[in-house]
Amino acid sequence: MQGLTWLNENTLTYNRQWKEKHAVTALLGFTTQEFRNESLFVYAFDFPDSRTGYHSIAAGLKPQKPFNSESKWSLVSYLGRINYSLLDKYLFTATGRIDGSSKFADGKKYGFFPSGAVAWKVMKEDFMQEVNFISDLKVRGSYGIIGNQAIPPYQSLALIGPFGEGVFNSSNGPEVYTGLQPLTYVNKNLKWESTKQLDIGIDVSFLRNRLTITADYYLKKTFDLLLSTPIPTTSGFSSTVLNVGNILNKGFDFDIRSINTTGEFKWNSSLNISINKNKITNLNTETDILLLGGSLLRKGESIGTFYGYVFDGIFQSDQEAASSPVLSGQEAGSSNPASIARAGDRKYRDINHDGHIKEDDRTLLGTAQPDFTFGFNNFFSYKNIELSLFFQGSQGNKMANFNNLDLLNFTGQNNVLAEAGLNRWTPANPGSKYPRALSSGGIDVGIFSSAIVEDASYVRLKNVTLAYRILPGILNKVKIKSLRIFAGATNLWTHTNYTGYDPEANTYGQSTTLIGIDAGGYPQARTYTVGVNAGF
Amino acid sequence: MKTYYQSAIIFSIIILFGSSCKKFLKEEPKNLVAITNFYQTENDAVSAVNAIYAYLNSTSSGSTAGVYHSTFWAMAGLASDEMYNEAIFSPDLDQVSNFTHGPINASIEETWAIHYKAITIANIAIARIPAIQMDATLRTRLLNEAHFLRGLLYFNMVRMFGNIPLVLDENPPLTPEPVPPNAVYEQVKNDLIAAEALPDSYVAGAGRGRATKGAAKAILAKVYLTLEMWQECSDKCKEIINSNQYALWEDFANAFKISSRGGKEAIFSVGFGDAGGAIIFWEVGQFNVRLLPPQLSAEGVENAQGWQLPTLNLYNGYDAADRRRKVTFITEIHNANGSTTTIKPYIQKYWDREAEPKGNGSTNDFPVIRYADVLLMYAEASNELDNSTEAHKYINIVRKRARFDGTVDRNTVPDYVNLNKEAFRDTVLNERRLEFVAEGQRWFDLVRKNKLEKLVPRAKPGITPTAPKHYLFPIPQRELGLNPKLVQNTGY
Repeated sequence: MQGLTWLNENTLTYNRQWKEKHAVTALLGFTTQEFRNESLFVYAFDFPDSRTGYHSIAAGLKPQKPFNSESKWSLVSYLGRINYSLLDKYLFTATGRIDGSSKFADGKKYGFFPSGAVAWKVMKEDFMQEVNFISDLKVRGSYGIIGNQAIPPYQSLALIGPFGEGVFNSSNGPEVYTGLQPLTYVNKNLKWESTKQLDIGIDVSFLRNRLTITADYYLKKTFDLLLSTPIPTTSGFSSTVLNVGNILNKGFDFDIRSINTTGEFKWNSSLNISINKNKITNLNTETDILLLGGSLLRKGESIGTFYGYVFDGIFQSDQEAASSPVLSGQEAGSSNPASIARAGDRKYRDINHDGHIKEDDRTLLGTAQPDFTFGFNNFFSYKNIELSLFFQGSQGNKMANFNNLDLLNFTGQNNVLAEAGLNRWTPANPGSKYPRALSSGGIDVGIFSSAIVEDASYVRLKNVTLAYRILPGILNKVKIKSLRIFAGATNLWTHTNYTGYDPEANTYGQSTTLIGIDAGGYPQARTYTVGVNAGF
Repeated sequence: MKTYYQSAIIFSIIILFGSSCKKFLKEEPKNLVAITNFYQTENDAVSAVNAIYAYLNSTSSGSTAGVYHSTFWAMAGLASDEMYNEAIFSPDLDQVSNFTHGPINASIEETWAIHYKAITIANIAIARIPAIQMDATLRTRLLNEAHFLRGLLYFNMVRMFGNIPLVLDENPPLTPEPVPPNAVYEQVKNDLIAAEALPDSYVAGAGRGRATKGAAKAILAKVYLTLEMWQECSDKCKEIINSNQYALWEDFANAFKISSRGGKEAIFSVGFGDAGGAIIFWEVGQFNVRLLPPQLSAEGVENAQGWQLPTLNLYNGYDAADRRRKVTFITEIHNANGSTTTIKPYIQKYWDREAEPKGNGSTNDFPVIRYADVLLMYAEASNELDNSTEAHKYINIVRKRARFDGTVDRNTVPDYVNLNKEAFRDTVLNERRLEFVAEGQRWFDLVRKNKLEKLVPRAKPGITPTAPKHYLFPIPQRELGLNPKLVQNTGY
């Protein structure tokens, strides 16, 4: 495996000031960038010498064909920026850039991404000099377009590669044949994803900076979202990168910092709150897009919306099961009498009231988008003792707990959660949460339903540190400048109703569209730290 | 002033550099060929057709999803009175075996997807090969191989799914319209008729295993059989019989020996194996792993899982002396201490015990169609055409082999005589059942003869398929969800 990236940047900068009133900085630039990646795979089987084993690949008795891959992408950017400041009170910035990316189709490689920003340092105005309780005030606004090209290269090319091989067998033994074929579905219309972003903000400080507030409102419209999207297999492929649609994000960010007490007992706090609303404003496909993990992309809904059946409890009697809508194969006239729904089986909601539980009874089951997220930090110190506490949390977001898809699967073929197994439905222990135990796989296996979509709101003490600072007077005698002894912990305490290991789980962390899915990642560890900081 | 000159020089360099950007942003991977430079040489044509064959065995992703790797023939056996499922963690196959499968089913999805994958590769070959400058005879042959494979694949698809998109273009619409079965059958016939121009055979080790004239005629005969076009079926079978290209092995056991691959009884087979390590290991067949009993570990057999088993009704359907029962099933394990353990029947016909004593990865072929099938199709069509003599003669050729125990013809498994037309229908259907275990035939035969709901409950007590629902598989929900033009089959 070998990678190479190079970046060539050429910029011209121009600075000028006139009469201490006008200040201009201008920048003109041209950059080129290239990324190359090469990899080589060798396979061999049967290593007779146990001393070297697979460390000596050449010793393998059955060497396989080697396989290599190469990829390359390049980016060209022309950029210009002008900053203009009037009286150091009114600040203007205008930026324009043209980016060309090799990854897009011919004729769609270039995108133009301008932006502009203004700021007004209100505090520098004469009329503010009399206002004593405000110590700083700045109003900001910006509008711009940014581009995204974060997709693999060659998506718009029809590339033929070695794929597929086999043998024709005869009395003469095997005759190997190899094939060549197109490797990806070709999208000749692939183009830049772009986001138009408006941001209006205010920075204000009161009472000689004892209280500082930063507030921002933003409106982000993303166009031509790039996404690897499932496509009908009649195309020969199961997915391709598409400019799939448009997304709107809007919201507020608040950051409040305060110095609550000064003097011997010091207490500082900071609180940040983010509120974001996300909505898919357009989809370019003919249908909703059902991604893996029960996530759905639908016009008008947010990214991270879950889609599946509504779990409605447990049948308490055979009669109830017989008179209720059930999954195909569980109905009274089922081809397999053993799979007919009985007391103890899960009940699902008949959304369209047609008397059956079928694919069209799937519905929206909430979203992984939180109502708001927050972080709350407090720092206390008294004499030489310091304490800091950092809480963080999220409110109103759902999580698909895929661990439970398997761990609540009563097929007699796999482990189940002890909680579910011990509290399973029996005539003597009727419940409305866990089904009866089965000795073999049934119909209700692997069904994505609200039973595994949980509220994942949480508050977590993310970090706590207690420190003791030894006074310099004592230290001077042993020629140590500073000495701090501390003990800390992360993830010490969590309050959540989520039943999985970690309400912060995010199995597809790299993905912008698969969010709120817990498919069994390693949970965040609780760590304890004890330490000494010494300065000499 | 000097600084301005410098700026101007630098700026000029930028402009010069910028002018070569068009080339800089052009994507030209060196380890792969762009489609605009491909399908130009004889080798390109051969590779384009090989790529279709490569989807019949395993796929390069290492999954078991080749068309004839296992899922297809396991499903045809499970959705019938032939096999049941004991593989754990496979509710999809449990459901197929119990006729409770729905449109969300991994095996059905896989079968749909892998067929269309291979079809699209065939479409490219058919679109591109005619324009390639190369030896004209080879060009025609390759083109007809692609026609054969596309015809075969669409024949599977139309029987399993009914109304399906008939994708024929190299660049089909993303959401194609489905067409009724007769339109698919027209195309299947046209493709197979074109493929009748293929060579009679190929030299062993130099093409043996590729599609032939006989393969095209045999699949075409089966198309006619399915459409109850008895005269056409009979004619096509007779052409194959009269070609003298094919014959039955004297011993039924020899039909599945490693040494018989590409032999006289094989009309079209799919090869498995890694050629001793020359190609990737997952190209081996899964017959042994999938079908042999785990108890065989006592005989040194590795990795026998016994996922799909024959129904007892099938095993008991044989005359005890029928050679095919002994060859097809294993019921005894020979322990190291010399004792013998009796087990329930498992399928062992694909296991060549001498050639592959440890079982596991198999280098055997999957018989898509073999000569015995042509003989039985001919017998069935002859019966329908009221040619009782010919019908009895040809069913008894297959029957006769069941009397041969490896050394002598025994006085058992008697010939059929004087069956009336209706009795002959049932008899030939049953003879096909005894002959083609685990060859991906039974669901198709029961559907063709409208016998699903009658025969399945006999083999699987309590399990009752329904008509018309189980005479087709459901269109996979994944595809319905992505292509709004598709319509779900009745009952699902």
